[in-house]
Amino acid sequence: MLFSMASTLAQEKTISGAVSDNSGMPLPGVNIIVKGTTNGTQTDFDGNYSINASSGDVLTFTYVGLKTVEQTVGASNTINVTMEEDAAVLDEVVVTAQGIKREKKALGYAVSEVSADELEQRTEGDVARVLSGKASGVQITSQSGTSGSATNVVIRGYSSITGSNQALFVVDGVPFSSDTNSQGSFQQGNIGSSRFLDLDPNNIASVNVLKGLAAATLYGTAGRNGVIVITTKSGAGGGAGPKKTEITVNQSYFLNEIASLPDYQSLYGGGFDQSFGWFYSNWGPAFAADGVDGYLNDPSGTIQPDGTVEHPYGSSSFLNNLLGGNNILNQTYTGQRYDWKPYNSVENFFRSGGVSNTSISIRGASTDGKMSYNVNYGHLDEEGFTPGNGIRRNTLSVGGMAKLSNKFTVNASLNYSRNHVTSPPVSSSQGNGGTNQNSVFGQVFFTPRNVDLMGLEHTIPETGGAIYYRNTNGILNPRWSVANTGASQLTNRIFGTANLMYELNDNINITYRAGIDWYNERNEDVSNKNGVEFTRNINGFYDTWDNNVSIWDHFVSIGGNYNLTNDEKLGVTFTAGATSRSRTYDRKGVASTGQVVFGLLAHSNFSTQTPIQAYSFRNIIGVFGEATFDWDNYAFVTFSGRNDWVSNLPTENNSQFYPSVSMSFLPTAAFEGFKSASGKGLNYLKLRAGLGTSAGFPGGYPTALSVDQNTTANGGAQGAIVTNTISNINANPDLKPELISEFEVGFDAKFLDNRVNLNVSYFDRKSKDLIVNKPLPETTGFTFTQVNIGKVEGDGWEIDLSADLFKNDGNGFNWNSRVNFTKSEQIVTEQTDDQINYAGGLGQFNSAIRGEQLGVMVGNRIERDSDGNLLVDTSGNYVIGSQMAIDNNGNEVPLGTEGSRTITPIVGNPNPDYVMNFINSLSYKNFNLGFQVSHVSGGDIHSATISTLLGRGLIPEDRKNTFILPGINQGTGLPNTVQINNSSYYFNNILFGPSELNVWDASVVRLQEVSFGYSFPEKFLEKTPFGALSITASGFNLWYDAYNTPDDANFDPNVAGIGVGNGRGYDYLNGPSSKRYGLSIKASF
Amino acid sequence: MKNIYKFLILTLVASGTMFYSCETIELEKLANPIALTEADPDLLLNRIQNDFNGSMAEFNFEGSTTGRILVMGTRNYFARYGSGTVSTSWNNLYADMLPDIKAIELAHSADNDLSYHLGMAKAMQATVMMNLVDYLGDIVFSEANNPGEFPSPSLDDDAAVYTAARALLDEAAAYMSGASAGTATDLYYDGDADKWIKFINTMKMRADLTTGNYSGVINATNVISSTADDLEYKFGTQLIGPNTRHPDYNSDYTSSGTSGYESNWLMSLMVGQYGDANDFYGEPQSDPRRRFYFYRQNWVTPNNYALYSAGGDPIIYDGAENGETLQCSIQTVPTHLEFTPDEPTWCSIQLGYWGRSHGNDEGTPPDGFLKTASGVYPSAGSFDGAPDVFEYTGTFPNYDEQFVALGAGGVGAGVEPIMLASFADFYRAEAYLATSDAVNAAVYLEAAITKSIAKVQSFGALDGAANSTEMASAMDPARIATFIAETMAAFDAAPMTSALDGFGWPVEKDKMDILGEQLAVAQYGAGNDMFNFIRRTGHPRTLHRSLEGSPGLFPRSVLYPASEVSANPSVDQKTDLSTQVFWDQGVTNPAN
Repeated sequence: MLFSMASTLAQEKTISGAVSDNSGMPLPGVNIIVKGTTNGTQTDFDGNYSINASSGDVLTFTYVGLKTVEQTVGASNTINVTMEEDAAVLDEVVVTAQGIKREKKALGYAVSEVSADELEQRTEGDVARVLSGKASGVQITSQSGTSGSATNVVIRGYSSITGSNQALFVVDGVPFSSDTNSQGSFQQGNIGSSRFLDLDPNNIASVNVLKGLAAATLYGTAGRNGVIVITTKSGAGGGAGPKKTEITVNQSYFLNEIASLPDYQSLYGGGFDQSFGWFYSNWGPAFAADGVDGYLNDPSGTIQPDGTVEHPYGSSSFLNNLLGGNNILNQTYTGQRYDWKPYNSVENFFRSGGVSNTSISIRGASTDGKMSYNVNYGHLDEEGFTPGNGIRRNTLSVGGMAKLSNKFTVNASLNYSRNHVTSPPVSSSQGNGGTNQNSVFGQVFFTPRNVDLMGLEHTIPETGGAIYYRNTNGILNPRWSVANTGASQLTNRIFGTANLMYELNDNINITYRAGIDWYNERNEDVSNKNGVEFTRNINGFYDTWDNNVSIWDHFVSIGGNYNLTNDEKLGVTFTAGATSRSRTYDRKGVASTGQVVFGLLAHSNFSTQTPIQAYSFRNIIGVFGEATFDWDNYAFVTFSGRNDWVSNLPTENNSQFYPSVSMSFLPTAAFEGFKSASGKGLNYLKLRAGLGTSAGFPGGYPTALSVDQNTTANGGAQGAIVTNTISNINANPDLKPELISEFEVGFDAKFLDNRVNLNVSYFDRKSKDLIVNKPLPETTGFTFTQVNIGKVEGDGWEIDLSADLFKNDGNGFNWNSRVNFTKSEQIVTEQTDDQINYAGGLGQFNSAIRGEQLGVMVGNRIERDSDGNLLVDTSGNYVIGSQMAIDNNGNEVPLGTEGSRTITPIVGNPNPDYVMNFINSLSYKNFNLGFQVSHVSGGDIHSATISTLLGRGLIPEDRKNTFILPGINQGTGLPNTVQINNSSYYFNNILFGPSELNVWDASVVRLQEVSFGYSFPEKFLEKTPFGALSITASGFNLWYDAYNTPDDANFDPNVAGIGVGNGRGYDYLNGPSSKRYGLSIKASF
Repeated sequence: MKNIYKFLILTLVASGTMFYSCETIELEKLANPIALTEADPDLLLNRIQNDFNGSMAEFNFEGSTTGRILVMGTRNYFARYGSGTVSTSWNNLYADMLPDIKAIELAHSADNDLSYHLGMAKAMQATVMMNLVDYLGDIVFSEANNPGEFPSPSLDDDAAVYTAARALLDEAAAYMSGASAGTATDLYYDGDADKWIKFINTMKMRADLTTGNYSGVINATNVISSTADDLEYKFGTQLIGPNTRHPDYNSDYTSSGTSGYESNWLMSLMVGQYGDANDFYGEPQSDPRRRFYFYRQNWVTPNNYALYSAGGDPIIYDGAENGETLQCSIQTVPTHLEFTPDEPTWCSIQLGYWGRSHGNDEGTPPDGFLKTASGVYPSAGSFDGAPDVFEYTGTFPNYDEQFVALGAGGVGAGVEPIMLASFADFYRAEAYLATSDAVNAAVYLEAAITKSIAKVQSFGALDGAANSTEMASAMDPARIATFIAETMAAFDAAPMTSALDGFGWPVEKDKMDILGEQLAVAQYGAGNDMFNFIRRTGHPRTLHRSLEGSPGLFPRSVLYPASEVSANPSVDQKTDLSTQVFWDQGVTNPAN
């Protein structure tokens, strides 16, 4: 019996062998099939395989991106195969939603990829900023150049009014919290890093950007704003590592400097109306003695002919009054003279910070390749250019994978980061110190030219209090702020994922994945007492609170692929599964005021404490499925759908289903002859189209009515009293999810021996039932409720063009140029209110107004008469108007016109016309050179930096001419003829006049990156322990020009003045931008 | 089989983790576990009282700026009295007080008697409603606070709202009658129901005056007639946790000096030409309240005069101009004020009083230790003990004997006057004068001035560090009697009406001008009655003109709050300030 069986099988034998590429590297995962049967296998991690076949059978070896090889089984039991690159196909595998790997040609939507070498050795510790300009459709805005400040990441523009528009980050398959928990509003000084700061860019293996909804459907509501899929080196443990252990060390050191230092004028000093005074403003006489503007002609006569004035601490009425005048500073400086000359105070206040970045990566694998591991350690020590600002970060991550003999594959990664950001107070400023909290930039930027900030004492010896040049000491000395106040955020974070995959059979896999993302942000916001200007600084305060955020993510799916027809032309790949994601946000802390003993920051040293607490929980459960049908490798269609249930809406409204479909078609594969025969013409063409949908859910608890309680309300003579009041936010139990849909078409093409690569996408996006914080008439008893009322529609283009201008083999000269281009526009098409101001503050807002682009800026403007003429008052200054009326077509009509809408005047549109990046990499022998130029065209910014520099007389040099504002004199009705002087023009009209005059075109050209590197040749390294060694010099943001803003302001519009959120187009002196340059060395052993 | 077995293990592992790891499959988490869902009537009443004070403070402030009791720092009336003018009161009434009062009404029952709560709450509600009508005209009432039925409430006719508010006052009096405060905190009358009833009656009297029902005013009974019955919000001295000090104290008594500006017109009116030296120059007695209202930090204001003496008679000292601390001192008088009574005071005034005039919109120079601060009444700052005639001892040093400081004077334990006995006397005086009964008008005017002075003087004790000599002089009964007598003599001598000169000033003050000036003085710290008085009588015609030659139309009513207009299609915004409130006869004041 045994014998007979063996003899039956005698024709069939076990064939084994190894598959490698043409460089000799083993190829894992090659599909091997006995032609004409369903009998197949795959190579293991060493490229080895074994399969049962009979003599005369044909084995087909297929691998993405390589030419298919066919081998006939002969007498030998060993068949080794070398596979070659298939230049014509160049198929790539990309990671798509939920970690599903797909051939790129099968995708019916746009995906941008960014490789590790575009992310490594960068100076920014913030991965989002490193990604800036690298992919079309992705808009990245820094809050400021302050180290550790937040970053906005928006893909394909803003389409939700109150929901988040921030892109989803997915790290190693699990959604990754990229929250920004700022410390209060932008008006209160919002240090608060965006939590992707916890990722070390050096630990990233690859980034894929899924821009559209068709791409992101499987992520559900979280993916509605596009997804940035990051695979870390530790998470990439799933691939086979080298057998030998490899250690890579990256060390870089950069200098970090202020990039946007204004070119201050040096002709005139502090004062007003050409007359000297210790003012905030710089409208005083010239530093020269003579001439009509010379200080000897100053009507105040304060400046003596020898060019001196009394020392500001000598003439200070504050010091004259302090302790009855019996204080050291008053006694020291009374009678002392002070030179009337310009000082470089602002320049000297800032410093040259250093950024040191160390990254060590160790990876290796077992000899059979079935186990691999990866350990990464990163250390970032970053000094900001502002004293007191810095980041210290340590990251450690480990990852591994094991392919077990019982068809289980396990991989896991765990990351720990500890991140400490410190900063002096950086609240908003409108050119008058901080708006309602202390702002170091608000104080330092308009230092009058005759004030020697670095030469004046900043501390009163007797009290530890702040002292500065202003006669009444009404402005906080920024150096005192640095020494005595500040904010910090210490974050401990653990995030990781564990994946268990089971191969049910050759066609079906089952996957379970658990992800945990937990962090604790320990916030401190402090000031010693005896400051000035702000009550909190005068009394001293100490606020500490922890934000605990935990996110649990579960994912289970079953996936597989089948050939549906015998000729193998029609196949299906599918995935179905369920996921749940819960997020708990728990904030607790204490706010203390009333410091008892100067200097000690401990709650026990403060007289009064109030609690800080906030809590929210939301769980989203999703069920999803996706199936891709492919026909003969040239036509693909994918159907997907997902249903979500959310925990903060009642059962009737808590469920939302949304489907998507996308398809791709490759004419170059479908039709013989479509592809250029010589290879010099068209090499590859893919047409794609997709229709995607998604949903947005509300945050918080919008369906429950609550009572507000204050336990320390002001009871006047009674002291603190407890008050209750019915909340002004009306509950809306009928609230529904918002719905987003997007249609996308495009093509990917390669030409000229694949040297030119063009990807074009057009998308059309609609979001409806938008959840809006609808202002209610106060007469209803409420001020706001959340309702579904808005609709926003828009479209856009994304173009990526890449060309190998020079291409030579080996060490020859190579030059690759890439351009990416993005243009999009989102219009509010439905909206029942006249306007909804949903972001902003300080009198200016981003608004949703029917017929206008989403986010247009509204504020007050120069008043117009009924003919549209500008109005000037009898003193020659502009009249401020705070209302305008528009008709149904959005055109302005006289106020009160029947059927018109009265709105706050539209003063700007922050949305750029287009964004373009030009990225080049050149190499010759062992040298390489790269540079990236970015261009943002159009889009407005309301800049307090520019208006302050102008209004405070710090950059205008023309002082002798007068101004006659064009317009109609409101008193006479005739054209204005009243002359005003320079300070009235800039101070009353530009700085403190209508906000319309603070709005500038934010177009900017920027040299985003430039780098020059050298890799040591292998023969140099033979006698060293190094396997590879390279050294790179690079610079970031070395040059920019916001060419439609005043030159001397040197303003950098890459600033998000009201922080991360839906507001944009504002700069409130939130901080200058940074430029960095330095060296990095990468070595592997 | 084996494969299926493994699949089951996997499923169990997965589902086990999913079901048991915390909140994986939880839905219907609709309420925030840390939010309160039920309100306490006592605590609601606390909030209503604070909202009421906030609203009355806003009405007081705006009444003061229209009446030159405080400075109006904008050139254009339309820009100044726009949609923000009474937005706090609007929001307080509709979004806070009404829902909170409704919640108390729902909790009120035989077992849980909340009559006192409701009496207070409705009296306060009616007061805010009447004032909103005074400032706006038509307001929402019958469709308010019912979002289900009226998502966009319509305006009610202003006269009807007044009627409804009167009915609410009656309702409040009925609740109050015999009620006790129980566990409630009464920040105003400390649980005295009778005083609330007097306040309610005084509010009705005020409404009668406003609507021209003079006999109602004259015949009103059981109104606030004694200072002990004054309705006012009492502040504390606490700096933090929370700050309970008077808001004017907070802004004027800081380590960086004073922030606001006092009104040149009011100060000049009260000081007279030479202050304490008025006697010497044969001028009438200066107003004894001025040292309680205004706290000087400097002895001479740029481009104006002060007095000194070198051991003998007062000598006039002319202050030099100073563009650094007072920009207008190096400028010329606006042409429309040339040769008018406002010319000497358009920029600066005499004797070191350092304020601003109507319509001055300049920025803020470093003058925090130079300009005049609010005094000990009503914000509990410092008593002004500076002499009006500076003793010259060889030099003119900086007059640095008195400066504001954090914690100085009465430490902010002042009051927000809402309804004072003196105000009620002014109502009667005006009603008699309007009915041409000058004799009774004089009786009540004298009573009003006397009560006002007495109340103001009682605040002197709050400043323990006050200059006792000057305090004694300011409190001197003989001097006060002279002041009252001189004022009453002027009133008695003044004609019932007088004509205007070519510049629009009265050729001589008539009785209503004098009554109006005295009302403005007594209203200092409050001010709410002044806006109504100006529109009702067109007096006093001596108010300071705006520094802007074309300030636009003086408000007959102000704009609706922007938040209401933009959210409520039933409320159309006004396009100018010309809309007259139902009781307004359109009398214009030439000063506007």
